[in-house]
Amino acid sequence: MTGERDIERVLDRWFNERPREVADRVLDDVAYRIDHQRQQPVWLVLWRNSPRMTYVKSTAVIAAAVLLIVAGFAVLRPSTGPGAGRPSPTVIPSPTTVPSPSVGVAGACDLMTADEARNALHLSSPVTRDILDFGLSISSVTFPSPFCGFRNASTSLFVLRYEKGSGTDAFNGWKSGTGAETVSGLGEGAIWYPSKTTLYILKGNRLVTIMPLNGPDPTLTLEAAKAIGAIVVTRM
Amino acid sequence: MDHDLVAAARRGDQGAFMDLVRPRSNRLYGIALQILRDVDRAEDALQDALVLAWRDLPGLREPDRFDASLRRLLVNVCIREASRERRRATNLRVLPVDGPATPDDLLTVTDRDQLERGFRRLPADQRAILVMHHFLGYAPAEIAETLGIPPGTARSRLHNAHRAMRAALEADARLTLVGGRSA
Repeated sequence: MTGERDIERVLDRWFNERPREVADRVLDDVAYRIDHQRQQPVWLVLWRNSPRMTYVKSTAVIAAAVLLIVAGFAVLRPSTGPGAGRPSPTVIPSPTTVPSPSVGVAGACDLMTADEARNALHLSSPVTRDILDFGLSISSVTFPSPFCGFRNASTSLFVLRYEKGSGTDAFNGWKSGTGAETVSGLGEGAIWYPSKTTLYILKGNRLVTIMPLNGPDPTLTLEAAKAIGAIVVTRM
Repeated sequence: MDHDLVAAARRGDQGAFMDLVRPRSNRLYGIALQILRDVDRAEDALQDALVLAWRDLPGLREPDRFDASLRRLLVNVCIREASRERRRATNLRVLPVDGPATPDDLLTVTDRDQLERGFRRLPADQRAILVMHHFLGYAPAEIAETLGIPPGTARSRLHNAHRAMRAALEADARLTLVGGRSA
């Protein structure tokens, strides 16, 4: 019964041996169900069944997932413990007006002007600012120094990261980290990490981080960070 | 006539839809029963497929394709249902291994029993392909269209399904032989 032609002949016979009739109640149930099932509009059926639409839907799902990840990263970026993310360089050049001193400024861009950064670091070359602020609890501003006069060929001096609302927890996390050195005279507490050339300053429940953009930078010394911190802390 | 019924059903006429499916229901039920090998599941699959067909009927651009689209829908519902059944690895209600409606000297009761067991061992898509080919008389090109796969793939899957069925029958025969000797 199991030769190539045999199996086909046997299956032909087997499948067609006995016609079966569907019970009336099955069709009665169908009639009942379609009475409660609205037909879908043409566009929805075509959209769901079209292979091209399947591709479009997949692309849309992927795009939505990427957007969610990006948005989630921006909102939930970790702020405590070694290895916390550094802000990305941004694309919003800001004017260099002097912000008015206040308690709990809106964002990192209010903490220091470009001129103040240049003076604190005793630089003769100009300094600009790139701001990353989505109006959330965490914002940052990068201070690049244009290189050879070309805006795009710049070297980043440092980053100011400003965290509102949950600064105490973040600060305590850094304080208990390996290699932390306490710095006095800045806010309600300040921590310096020589290995990361990064300074954390706490005031109220607000935390400012002064750090290099791309990993430890020996030019960002404790003295330079303290000079920056001394200005920043008056506006936190 | 069917063309008019399809047009009316597309506009939401439930009576027209039932008039369309009633004469086709036994054949459709046969497809579901052959693939699923279970009366209850076949009835459920047929109902689900018909309700889906009703729901999506406005999207049927060519009324002449009503039969093909209905069968395609049903086969896919059955494949999905059969896959679930395999995952659960249970058979709630086995079809009786009954004799043919007319006297038949080709298949014995033992043959039918072996065929039943062998067929149940096959994956859902292979079952569907065999049913389409041997029960509906579909050529590989029609199987390809129904499953949305290239014709070459349909041909090779049909060949593989035959081979799998043959292997299942041979395995079953060996088991029967061993069981008979040990008994």
